[in-house]
Amino acid sequence: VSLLLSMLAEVVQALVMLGGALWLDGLRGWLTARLAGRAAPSVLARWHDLRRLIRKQPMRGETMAMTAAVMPVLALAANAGAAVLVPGFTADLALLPAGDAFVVVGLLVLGRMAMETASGTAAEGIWGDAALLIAAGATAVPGSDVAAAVLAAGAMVLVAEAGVRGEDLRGWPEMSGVDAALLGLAAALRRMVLVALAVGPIMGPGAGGPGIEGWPVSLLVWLAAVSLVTLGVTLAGLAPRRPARMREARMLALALAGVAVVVALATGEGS
Amino acid sequence: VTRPNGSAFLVLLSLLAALAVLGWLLVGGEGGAVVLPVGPFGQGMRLAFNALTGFFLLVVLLEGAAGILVRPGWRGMVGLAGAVLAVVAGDGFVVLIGLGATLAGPGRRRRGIALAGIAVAMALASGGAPDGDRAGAAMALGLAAASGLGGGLGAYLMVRIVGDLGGMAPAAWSLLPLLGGAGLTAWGALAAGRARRLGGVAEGITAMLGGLVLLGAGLGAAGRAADLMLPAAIGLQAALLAATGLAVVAPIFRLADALLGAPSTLRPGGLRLPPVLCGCLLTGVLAGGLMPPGLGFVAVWTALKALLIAPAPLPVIGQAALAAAIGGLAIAVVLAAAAAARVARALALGGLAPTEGLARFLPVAIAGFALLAGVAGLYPGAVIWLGRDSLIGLTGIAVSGVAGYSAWAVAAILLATGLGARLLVQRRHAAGARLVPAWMDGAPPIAATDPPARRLLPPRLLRHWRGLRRLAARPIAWPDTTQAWLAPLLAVLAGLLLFATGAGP
Repeated sequence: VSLLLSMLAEVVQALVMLGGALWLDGLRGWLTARLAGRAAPSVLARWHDLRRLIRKQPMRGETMAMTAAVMPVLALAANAGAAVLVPGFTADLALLPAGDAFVVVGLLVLGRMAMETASGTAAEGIWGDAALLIAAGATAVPGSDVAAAVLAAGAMVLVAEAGVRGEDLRGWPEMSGVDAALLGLAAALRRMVLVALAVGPIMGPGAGGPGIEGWPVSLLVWLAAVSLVTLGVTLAGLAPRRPARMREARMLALALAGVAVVVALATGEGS
Repeated sequence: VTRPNGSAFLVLLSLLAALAVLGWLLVGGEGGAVVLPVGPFGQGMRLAFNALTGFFLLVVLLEGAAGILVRPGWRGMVGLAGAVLAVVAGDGFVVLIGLGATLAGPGRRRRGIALAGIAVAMALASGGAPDGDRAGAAMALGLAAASGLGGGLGAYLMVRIVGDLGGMAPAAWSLLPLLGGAGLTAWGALAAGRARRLGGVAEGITAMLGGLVLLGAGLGAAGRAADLMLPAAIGLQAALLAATGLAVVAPIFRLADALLGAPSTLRPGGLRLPPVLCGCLLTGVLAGGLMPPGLGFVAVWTALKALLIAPAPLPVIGQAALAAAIGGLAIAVVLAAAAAARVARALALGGLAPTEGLARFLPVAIAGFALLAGVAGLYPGAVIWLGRDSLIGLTGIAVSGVAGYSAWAVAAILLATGLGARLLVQRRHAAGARLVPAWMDGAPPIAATDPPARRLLPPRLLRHWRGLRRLAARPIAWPDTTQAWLAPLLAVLAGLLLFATGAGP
C-alpha cells in the first residue's frame, strides 16, 4: 500500500509540476504586463501557445534532421526527469531515492545542453548552472545552518528568473512547430523545478501532515509558496529582462551560492 | 594509416589480458609477488600483483589497446608494455624502467618531466622513515608529476602514492592535490570546449578525468591523514570511477577522431553518421560531458559527496579549500556540458573518413567502448565492487558503492519521458517534419566556450589577465622536440638519484 501511495504521489507530482510550470509562466507574464501598464494576456496564454505550436508541422534542416528531432525530446525528458526527482508537496515520492539535488541539477544541465544542441546557440547560462551546483552542495551539507539554505534558495531563484537563454526568455526562433513547443515546455519546467528546489529545504515537505489525507492541504500550501516566491521576485523587480541584466543575475547567483556553501561548511556537522 | 605487423596481435593480446584480469578481479583472486632474475645492478626485477594493480592493469590495457588502434606502430606497443610494467612494478627501479619505456609513445617531453618529478618524489620519500613534512612534500610532488603523466598510468601512480604516503603526510599537504585536482578538472573541461579538433576534445577530457582522479586522491590522502576514513574511501571511489572513465570514455573520442578523419569542431562536414554509431558517440559525449546518467557524472557526484561529509573536524583553511574544490567541480561540470553540446552538434554534422587496415575495426571498437562506458555509468557500483579490495586495503573500511543515486532509475525516467514526448509528437505529426535544404554546409556549429575569465573578470582586470596569459603562452625553449634525447637522460638520472637515496630495490 505504501509503495502504491508513493507511486500515486509521484504521478500527482508530475502532473502538478507540468501544470504548475505553465501556470507560473502565465502568471509571470500577466503580472509583468500589468506592471508595465500594458493589457495583460490570460494566465492560460502559455498553454494556448503550446497547443498552437504542437499543431504546427516542424521544419528541419536536411543535415541536422536527426539532431533537431532528438534533442528537443531529450531536453523535455531531462527537465521532466528533474521534475519527478525534486521533493515537492510530499516527501513520500516513489522516485525520490533515485537521486538528490545534485542529480536534479545534473539533469537540468543535461536539459540545457540538449536545448543548446538543438538550437545551435552558444552556452549563455552556464554560470547560472554552476551557481546551481554550488547551491545544491550548500543544501547537502548535513546539519548546516538555515542561513545556508536561504542563501542557496536565493541563488536558485535568481537563476530560475534569469532563464535559459540570454536573448529571449520564451521564444526559440531557430526552431519551429512542435520542436519549439517541446523546448518552451522544457524551459518552463526547468524554472518550476528550480523554484521547487529553492522552496523545498526551507519550508519542508508535507505541511498537511503525513498520509494521503494530508495531501490536499500540503499541495495547496506548496503551490501557494511556489507562486508567492515567483510573484515576489517579479514584483520586486528582480526578474531580469535584458541580456546584460540576466548575466548580472547569474553572477549574483554565483556569488550567493559561494557564500551559501561557505556558511554550510562552517556550520555543518560533518561525518 | 600504417599497418605494422603485430599491432593487431597486440590489441587482441591486450583485450585477452584485460579479460583475464577482469576474471581475476571478479573471483577476488589472491595477489602475489615475483622476482625476475634480470634487472639493474644484479638486483632482479620485483613484480607485484594485488587488487589495486589488477584494477589499474585493466584500465591501462583498455586504454593502451585503443591507443594502438588509433596509432599503430612499435611506439604504441613499447609504450603499452612500459605502462604495464610500471603498474605491476614491485619497487622503484621497475617503476622507472616502465615509465622510461612509455617515453617511446607520444608526449615524450611531458612524460620525461613527469618521470623526473616522480623519481625526485621517490627519492624524497626514501632513506628510512620520512618525517611528516618530507613525506607530504614527496606526496604533493609525486601527485603533481603523476597528474602531468596523465592517462590510466598517471591515475594508478596517484592512487599508489596516496596508499604509500597518505598516512604519513600531514593533512595540510593534501590540500594541494585537492585544489590542483579541481583546477585541472575545470581546465580540462574548458580545453575540451575550446578544442578545434576532436582529438583536442579527447585530450581535454583526459585532463579533466585526470583532474578528478587527482582530487579523489587528495581527498583520500586528507582523509587518511585526519583519520576520517569515510570521506577518504568515498574520495578514492571517485578516483576509481574517473580512472575507469580514462579507460573507456576518453578512447571513444580518440577513436572517433581517427574514424572521422580529425573533424573540426568549428567546420564539420555535411554528411550524417549511421544512427548506431551516432548513438555510440553520444554515449561518450554524455559520459565525457559529466551529465547523468553517464560515468563522468557519477564520478563528480561521488567526489562532491566526499567533499561535503568531511567539514566539521577541519580548520577554516580546510573548509575554504573544500569550498574552492566544490566551486571548481561545479565550473568543470558546466564547462564539460558546454563542450558536450558543441561536440554533439559537430558529430551530427560529421562524415565518415575512408578506412583501411586496422582502422576498419574502429567502428566496432567505438561500439565496444561505448557499451563499456554505458554499463559503467549505469552500474557504477559494479566498478567500485571491482576495486573493493584495493579500497579496503587503502582505507581499512568497506563502503558500499554510490548510495543515494540510482543511475539506471534516472536512465529509465529519461527513457520513459522521452518516449512519451516522442509518441506525442509522432501522433500529431505522422508525416514527420518538413525538410528544408541546407545552405552553407548545413546548420552552423556551436561557437567555442568563452574562457571563464572573460565572463568573471571586469574589463580592466581582464586586460592584465590577457597579458599574463600571453606571458604563460610563450614557448619554453627547453626541452623542445629537437632535444627529445633529454627525456631518456632524465630517466637515467632519475634512476641514479633513486639508487643513491636507497629507494630502489
